[in-house]
Amino acid sequence: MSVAPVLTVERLRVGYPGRDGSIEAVRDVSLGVDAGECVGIVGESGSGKTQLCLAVMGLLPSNARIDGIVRFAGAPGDAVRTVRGERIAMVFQDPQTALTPHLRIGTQMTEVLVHHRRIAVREAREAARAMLARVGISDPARCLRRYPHELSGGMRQRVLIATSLLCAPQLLIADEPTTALDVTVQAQVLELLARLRREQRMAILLVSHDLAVVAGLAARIVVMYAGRVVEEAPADALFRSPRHPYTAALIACAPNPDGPIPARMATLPGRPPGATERFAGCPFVSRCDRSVERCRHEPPPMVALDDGRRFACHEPLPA
Amino acid sequence: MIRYLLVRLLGALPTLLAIVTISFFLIRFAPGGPFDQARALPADVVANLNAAYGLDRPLWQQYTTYLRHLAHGDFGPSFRYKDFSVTELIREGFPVSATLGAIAIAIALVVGVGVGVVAALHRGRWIDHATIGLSVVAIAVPSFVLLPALGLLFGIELHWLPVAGWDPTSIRDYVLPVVTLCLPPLAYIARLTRASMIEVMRSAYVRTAFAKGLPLRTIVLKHALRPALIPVASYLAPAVAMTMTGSLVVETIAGLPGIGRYLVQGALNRDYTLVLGMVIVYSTLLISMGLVVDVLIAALDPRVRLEA
Repeated sequence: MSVAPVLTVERLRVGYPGRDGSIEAVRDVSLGVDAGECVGIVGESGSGKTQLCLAVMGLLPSNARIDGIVRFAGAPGDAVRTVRGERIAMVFQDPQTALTPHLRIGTQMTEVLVHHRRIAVREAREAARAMLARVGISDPARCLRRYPHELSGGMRQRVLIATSLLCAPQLLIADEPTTALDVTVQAQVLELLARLRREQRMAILLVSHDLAVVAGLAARIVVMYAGRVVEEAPADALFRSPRHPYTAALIACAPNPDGPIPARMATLPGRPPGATERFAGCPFVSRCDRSVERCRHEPPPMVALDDGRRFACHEPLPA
Repeated sequence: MIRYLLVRLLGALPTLLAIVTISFFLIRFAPGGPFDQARALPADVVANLNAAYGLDRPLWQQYTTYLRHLAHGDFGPSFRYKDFSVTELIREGFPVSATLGAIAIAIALVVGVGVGVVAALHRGRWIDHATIGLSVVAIAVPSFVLLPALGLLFGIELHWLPVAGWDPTSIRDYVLPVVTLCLPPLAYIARLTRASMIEVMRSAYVRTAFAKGLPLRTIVLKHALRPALIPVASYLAPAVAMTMTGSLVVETIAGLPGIGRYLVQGALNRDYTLVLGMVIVYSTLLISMGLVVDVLIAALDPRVRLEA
């Protein structure tokens, strides 16, 4: 971790004022992404993953209350907004709706280069064509002339990835990039991201609810629960010996394709606290089989270890 | 698309026939007739008139005769405007009404969309609240109140504009009628645009456009406006209908030589042929607007394809 981080997030909070008390989507999250590194963020729906990404990109709606620091090393004054789409790019969850329906792919791709690089449309088109070829689109020139609805989901996600890479960003935020795709396409897209990371030497912040998706790509994994980071560790260490009971439960729930087929899939009973709920202690207490009295009243502090692992738990699993 | 339009136009003919048939019998079953006056005419005079206009024959025969003439493009003679055929009346008045209506709708579109977009982008702020408030007023105040009120203020008090009258070469004569006609559809369009713009600005593809780092101007004009206009395009047909009904009142109050007044006058006078002629003109216009809307929506959204 000696490389300078491209992205630093410190004590980030995202909230929304609401009629029945305010909503807390992200509660005090800190993390860093080093240059060229792939960091995975894992957590179930509603754990604040997407809100975190949008906050980093500066794309939250205007009624969001944001607190904390987001620093991007590649930007003047470390502000993301000035380099958004150029040095920091984002790919969204649902490729079906993420492309403007009435504009041809060519238009939607070239406008990025024309705006950020101030080059001619013809040059931009050539660059877009080359990028489409790199993400594995077989007839890129034809694809440029297409409308989004004429492409399959996998092709659209490739187009979105290609678009985000046009300006060779230092950091790509991929928020559930494969969730809306079927399994074979999923694997192709992950493969593509891994290859592009090597080729372009860019950092990736890969967000997923699916540990398996993150496992193959990320060197470091951050586990989020109820808007907080509960554990962070190098990927192999995390899988080998999770310290936080929630991480352990997530790993236990992941289906094992090599093992015997269980009669019932393993599940985690209960639900996380809602975004409007306040809790004095650990957010996981109600679903945790290791919880003790202290977990209800006292928020567990983040413990950082030498091997790059940190976790927030009073009763961690043994190493 | 040409094929689609032809099929749709042919499909409109039965609709039109139904409208003509229903209107024909409705107006005939209304009490009174075209030659009733405060002082009753001598019976032999009425009989002569009835014979001259074919009213003495059985109703179904009159109906088939009317349809036969209609098929040749003949709307028949007016019962009350002596020596004028309905065709002549419409030919004279239509350009006036059409000019007024077209200007009103054009202004309503351009200004309404502009106001709606600005309100949507400033959602929750005073300019947005003002738009919503004023649009309620503009939709609620009827034209028979608005036009006299505007005439009182700008005509009689301020002497800026004429209250009534028509000189096709004088733009000043257009102002008050056009303003009165365009305000309700303008307000409607502003509200529609605002609502759909707010929705589109929340959509995933607009978020993608923001993530690309594009300036707000590009995002609004290039990515958001076109899909936001789809509900506005659908509203154009009702807007034309609204302008038509508005023109009945406006033309009567401002004393304009359009066709708007003919529908009401014709109905009150039991001027059978004139009423039917007007019904046909208005129905045709509305049915064609439906087609125009289809074509517009197909132009706005490449996913829509016009197939017969």
